[in-house]
Amino acid sequence: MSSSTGARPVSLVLAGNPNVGKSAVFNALTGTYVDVSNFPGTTVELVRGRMGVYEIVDTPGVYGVSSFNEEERVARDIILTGDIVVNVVDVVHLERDLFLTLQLLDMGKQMVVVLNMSDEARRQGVAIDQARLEELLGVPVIATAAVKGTDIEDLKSVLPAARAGHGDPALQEGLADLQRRISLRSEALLVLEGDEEVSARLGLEPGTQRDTIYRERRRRVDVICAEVVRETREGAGFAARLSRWMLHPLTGIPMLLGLL
Amino acid sequence: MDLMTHTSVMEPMIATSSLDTARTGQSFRVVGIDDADARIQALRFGMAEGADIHCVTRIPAGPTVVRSGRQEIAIGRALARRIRVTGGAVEAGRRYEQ
Repeated sequence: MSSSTGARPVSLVLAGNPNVGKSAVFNALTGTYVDVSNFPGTTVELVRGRMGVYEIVDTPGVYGVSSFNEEERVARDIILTGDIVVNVVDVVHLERDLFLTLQLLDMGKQMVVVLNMSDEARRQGVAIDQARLEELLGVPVIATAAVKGTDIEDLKSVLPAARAGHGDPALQEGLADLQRRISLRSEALLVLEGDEEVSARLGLEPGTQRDTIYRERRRRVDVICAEVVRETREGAGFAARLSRWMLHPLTGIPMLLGLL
Repeated sequence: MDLMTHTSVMEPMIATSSLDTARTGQSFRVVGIDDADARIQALRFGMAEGADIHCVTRIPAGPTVVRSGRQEIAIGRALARRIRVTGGAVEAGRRYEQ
């Protein structure tokens, strides 16, 4: 693969739910924004940067890979073509965020999971059994707190260990069947899940199993969370309470007036 | 005898209501979501059929805010109307939150 002018850069995709700290990880990895552009034909902004052999792309935050909206379609296409996926996960919302993580595993992507221990997570006393999570997912898991320099060094050092983890074994048969016609396993999964756009692109009929696959994925997420999450307190943190006060007319209007 | 057999297979009466009638402080179990896209999103969030949710607050003429675990989301009235739930007990020891 290498030539005298240097090897092709490895495309590294940052993926995660909205507001999990992807951009903070991006900035810490690249140091600075290198290139900002719109994804062709959309208003979705893309940020690219370079770090050593890696070309890093930040994707719009999504709850899953499919075609529900423009952000999802952009994130989907970048994830499909990426060599490595760095999946950023907020530990406060692990039961929500792991749904995307398991989907990426089912896609067979080479990946690393970054657990973002946000301030909110510490305040709520959420603890994760990181070693067990790594075992269950089958990919390296790195914990970061407020994206400190040392954490980023840990992440950089683990990138070469990015690998395909434990996908849902129940999907194997369907995927193997499709992969006789589709070379990419990630595309095969989306066809199996009934993604109309990807199916149309490949000239195939979209699958009809989305509900079943999603339901099973949700069940597996819940099983994993039950095993790795240790929480000391349940309930809403200050941020959630504040947003609730702002929503309610009785408290929200005075707050609005106060701000103005 | 016929009547007996018939009675035994009858499902227990469970009152379902739609989420838009939820009041602050009540807890529910989701039993159905009559919207294909919303059902997919609910599966992603972990608030699909079978999930236990808690009504955190209900904005007058606005959305219903529900919590499941540590997650809170606001659900618009039109969608809340299509989410069927059972239960409605006010949890003992939990104060009404505003």
